[in-house]
Amino acid sequence: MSFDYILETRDICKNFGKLAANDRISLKIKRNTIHSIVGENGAGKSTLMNILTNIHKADSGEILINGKEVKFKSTIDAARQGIGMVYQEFMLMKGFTSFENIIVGFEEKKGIAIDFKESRKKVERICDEYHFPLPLDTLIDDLPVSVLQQIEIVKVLYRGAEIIILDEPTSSLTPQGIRGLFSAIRALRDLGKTVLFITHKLKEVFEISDEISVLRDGKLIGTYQPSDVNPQKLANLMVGREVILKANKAPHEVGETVLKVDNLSVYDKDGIERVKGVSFDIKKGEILGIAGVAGSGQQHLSEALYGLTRPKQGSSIEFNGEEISRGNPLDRHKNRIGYVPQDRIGSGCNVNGTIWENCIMGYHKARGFDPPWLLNYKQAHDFSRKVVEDFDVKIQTIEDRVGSLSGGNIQKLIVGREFSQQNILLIIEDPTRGIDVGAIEYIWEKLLDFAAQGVSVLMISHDLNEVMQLSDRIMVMYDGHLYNAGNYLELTEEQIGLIMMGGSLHE
Amino acid sequence: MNKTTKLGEEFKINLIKYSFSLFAVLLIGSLLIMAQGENPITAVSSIFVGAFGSKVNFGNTLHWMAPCMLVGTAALIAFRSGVMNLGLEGQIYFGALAAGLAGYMVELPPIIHPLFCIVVGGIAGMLWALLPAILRLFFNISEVISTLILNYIAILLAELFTILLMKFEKNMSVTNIATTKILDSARLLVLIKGTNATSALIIAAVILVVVYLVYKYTVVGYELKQVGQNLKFAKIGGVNASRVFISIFLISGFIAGICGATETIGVNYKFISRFSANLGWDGVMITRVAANSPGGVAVVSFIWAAFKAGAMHMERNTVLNRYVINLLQAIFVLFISIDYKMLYTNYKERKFIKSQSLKERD
Amino acid sequence: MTEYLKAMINPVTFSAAFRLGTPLLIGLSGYCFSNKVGILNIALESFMMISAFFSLLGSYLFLNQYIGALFGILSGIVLSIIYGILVFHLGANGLITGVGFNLSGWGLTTMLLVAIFKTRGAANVDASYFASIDIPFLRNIPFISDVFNNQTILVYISPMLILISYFVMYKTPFGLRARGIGLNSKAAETAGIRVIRYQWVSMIVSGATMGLSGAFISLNTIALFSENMTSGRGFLVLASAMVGKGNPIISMLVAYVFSYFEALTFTWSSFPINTQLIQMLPYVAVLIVLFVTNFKNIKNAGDIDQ
Repeated sequence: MSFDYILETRDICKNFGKLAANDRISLKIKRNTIHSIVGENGAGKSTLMNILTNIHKADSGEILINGKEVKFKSTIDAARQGIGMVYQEFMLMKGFTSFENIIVGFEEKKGIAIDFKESRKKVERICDEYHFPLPLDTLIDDLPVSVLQQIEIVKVLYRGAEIIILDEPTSSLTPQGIRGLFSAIRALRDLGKTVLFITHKLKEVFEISDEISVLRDGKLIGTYQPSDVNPQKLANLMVGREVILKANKAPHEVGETVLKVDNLSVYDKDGIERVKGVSFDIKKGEILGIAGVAGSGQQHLSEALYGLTRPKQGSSIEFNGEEISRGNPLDRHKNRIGYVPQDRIGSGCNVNGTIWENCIMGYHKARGFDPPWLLNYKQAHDFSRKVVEDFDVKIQTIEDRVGSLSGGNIQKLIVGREFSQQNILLIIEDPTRGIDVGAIEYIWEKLLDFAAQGVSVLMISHDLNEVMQLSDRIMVMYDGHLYNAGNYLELTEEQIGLIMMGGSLHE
Repeated sequence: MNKTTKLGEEFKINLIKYSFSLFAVLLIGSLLIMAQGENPITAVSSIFVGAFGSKVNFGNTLHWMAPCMLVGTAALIAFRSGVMNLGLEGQIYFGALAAGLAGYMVELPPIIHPLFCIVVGGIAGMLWALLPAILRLFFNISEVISTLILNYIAILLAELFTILLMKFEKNMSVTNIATTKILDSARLLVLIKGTNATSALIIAAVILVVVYLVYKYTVVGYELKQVGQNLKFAKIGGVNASRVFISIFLISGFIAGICGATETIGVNYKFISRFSANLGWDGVMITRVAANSPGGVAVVSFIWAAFKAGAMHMERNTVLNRYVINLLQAIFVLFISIDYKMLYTNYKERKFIKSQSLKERD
Repeated sequence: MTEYLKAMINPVTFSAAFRLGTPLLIGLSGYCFSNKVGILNIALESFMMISAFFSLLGSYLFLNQYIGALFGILSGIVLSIIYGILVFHLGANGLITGVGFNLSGWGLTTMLLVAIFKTRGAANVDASYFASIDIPFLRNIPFISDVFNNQTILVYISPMLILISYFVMYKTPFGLRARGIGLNSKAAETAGIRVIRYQWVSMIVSGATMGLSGAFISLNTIALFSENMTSGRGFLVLASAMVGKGNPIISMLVAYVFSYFEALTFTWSSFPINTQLIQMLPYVAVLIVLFVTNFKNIKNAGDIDQ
């Protein structure tokens, strides 16, 4: 090899407003290696990758490929220089076939037209070489996640990538899916590619990496050999303090049944059955965690439970002995059921509204004003101040726009709103996705607190660790079905992962 | 402390927005006017005289203010909650026709009769608005396209009804299609003698004040705002979005219908085919310029009315025609609809980055 | 009753439908790309109206209908550029901008009509126009001759423009990428596709084609402009593209359905049926087509999303 380093950055700086997202990052990536980049949410990983792929421009600093400085003028330049990125949220076009998804933007041309034959040959060659048996002429709409990820990888290879960046590639995969991905990554390395692996999961880092770089607060802390560090040390480097995300869950008694779901089925807008006759119950003071790969029907389950979609005939949702499956969200509020939706910005709050306008949503009808049609400002403001104080939401005044808060603060506000109404049951989806460690710990603690006081919680999360840390009882959603996965600490992560993929423990 | 600076910033942006738009339109207007061989100052003073020069002229301005306020309120209600009711024009026609019929077919004592006509007109506008609402609610047909198309149908349908009712010839010239004159008992009260400034203005003002109070002090007003800003959020919060959507459409149509009705029983004293001349679209422009605020609608309606009244005067006294004003109003709306806040933020960011990089060089 | 039915299958009706489909087809050949990249442009109406006026003006000044058409295309392009700057770069809301454009279109054309041609309402001016062409080999085929012969050049090129548009949409990188943008613009960005550039190209192409369709409005077989002359044809282009989901061929067929009902305005006008009723037909047809193509949504009735 003529150059040791295929990719090098020198003093990359990037500011967003007053925030230094990248602060003089000088990183060296060896050719033909799997190089992990680890860091907490907000450590600057995504910004750095976006600079490497020219989504963002660096304020200053240089990028060197094969020892030569490169200047990107467009996104396409980064691809031409051999940098390919597989995003955490797949960048695929539903309504196109796998083949169209792979070639779009980089079509082989014949005159002004696309040379479909030549493009096809090239795609098939890559699929053969790297052993990705893709259904090229199928619309991607109904393909499983693991196949979509393979399409993404073939796509960057088709574009001639030498350096492949994988951004949190395991977040929507099962443990078994992850193993498949890892063998694909090793195969890529063995066939001469360089892989940048972005993650915050320590276990995976040690399994796959040749080298590990740690980012914290926008700075590069250092690059290490896996043999030189252990998980504990790496965690310390990542967060800069002795923190390992463990909830201090104290055992406690649960009471009588609060929610009883029987044979619940839900269809989506296209008439496809997404939840297939599930039955479960939740007891007073119990946290029931539902794990599962994204898209297994969790969204439809929670929407039906909250009255946003109507379940199929014959489904039953009993709340404190009362049948509520035909009710709407307002009835749920009145029944004292709270809901924290997964999509914080899209459905959990109104970013253009003020803090108090956000706080009283739901409360305004279910708990109500006197007379019920009159907006009592004092009452609304008092309630909002209570939410903000009890849940440590950092604001200046309750007239602030919610859009000016950080993700963690918004989540605290939403959780606070639902917890401050003396609810009996809380349905909560991904309570801590994409927020900082401090906020995660705070919300976990609150969840356990309230459960200890007798509030029942149905927690649907894509973070298996979160489910395992908090839940009294765990269920797994797979392809619209729910499976028991034992009580707190009964099963291991691997065992639950097997269920998440549709396997059985007794085979 | 921080709050005041934020408010100050918003004020600054609004100041920039309105003054820049005004300046740009004045400039474009001057050029347009000069191109037609007229002195812009003469034109402006002629508009001013036409709008405020005498009691009668001022009366004319007030006359125009009523329909502007009504249709502006109708548009405000729809747009503030994110309902794209572009069918105000059609709803006005149905309101006007229904009021015209109620004005001569029914005999009622004064005061009650005009009120009756107004309610009938409102209901007619509301029923016409029900159609796109149903199409959207049950078949997910975008109200943008359906209301645009329904406007054309409404105008023709109102004309057709008039022809059938009046037993006119099939080939009747469009300009002559009108219903029988309404009874004197159905006329609105004239506020300024010799003008069309009528009690319609009071009706419009009452409706606007009610709308303001609803938005400010009621739970319904709160819900309407939240639905407009984030529908999904409101749904989860227990707001019945379908009911809100259909109510907004109906109320918006109702007020547009009233607007048509007041034109019939306050100005024309009969339903005249194609009388509106894009009044419905004025509503959309007015609420846009007023940034969806009820107080703003009142102010902008006054300005809009002054231009409408002044334009006629200008046409009589200069070589210009009144369409210049229509054009300039529309151009003003285009300037207003620019997102100055975004531009301002981008500008500040760029300035910040520049200052940072300058610092680094030092 | 039978005379109405007879008129419906009369070659004259089909001929008029073929002719009246022209402005829709020409407009669609450009606007389909806008539809695919996700631009809902209600300002199409004003594009057509203003360029109809300027086509007439161009032809009037130079006594040449081709220069007139060029004026139309140029004014369409200028309008699309103004619209693009406002909506893509200055953050203006597309619908409000569209309303502003449509009102400007009405104000501008009526103002200029008075200022230049000194008339209100309508101007029948001394300008050259597109005359109908007699095509010898069509002349002797029965029916076909009645429908397709003796149309103007604009009428003949309109289906060809649709074919070109179809080829570009489905066989070239530009088309594939434009369609990709509509499906997932963020994914398109990561494929090195500069979304804004494609939006701009689509925008300008739709401006140009709407401009040419404006030339049809004022210069086809007669040089005439009247107030509100386009009478919602811009919206018909919009509706056709919506129903056809931006596929030029399907959109063209939908447009012909609309123009067929418009054609009945001519063939039914001598019958006792009211003019207003006939004039309503194309608009009612739009609603019915929208209704039929969206009828399947009834199962999600009552569910409002934005």
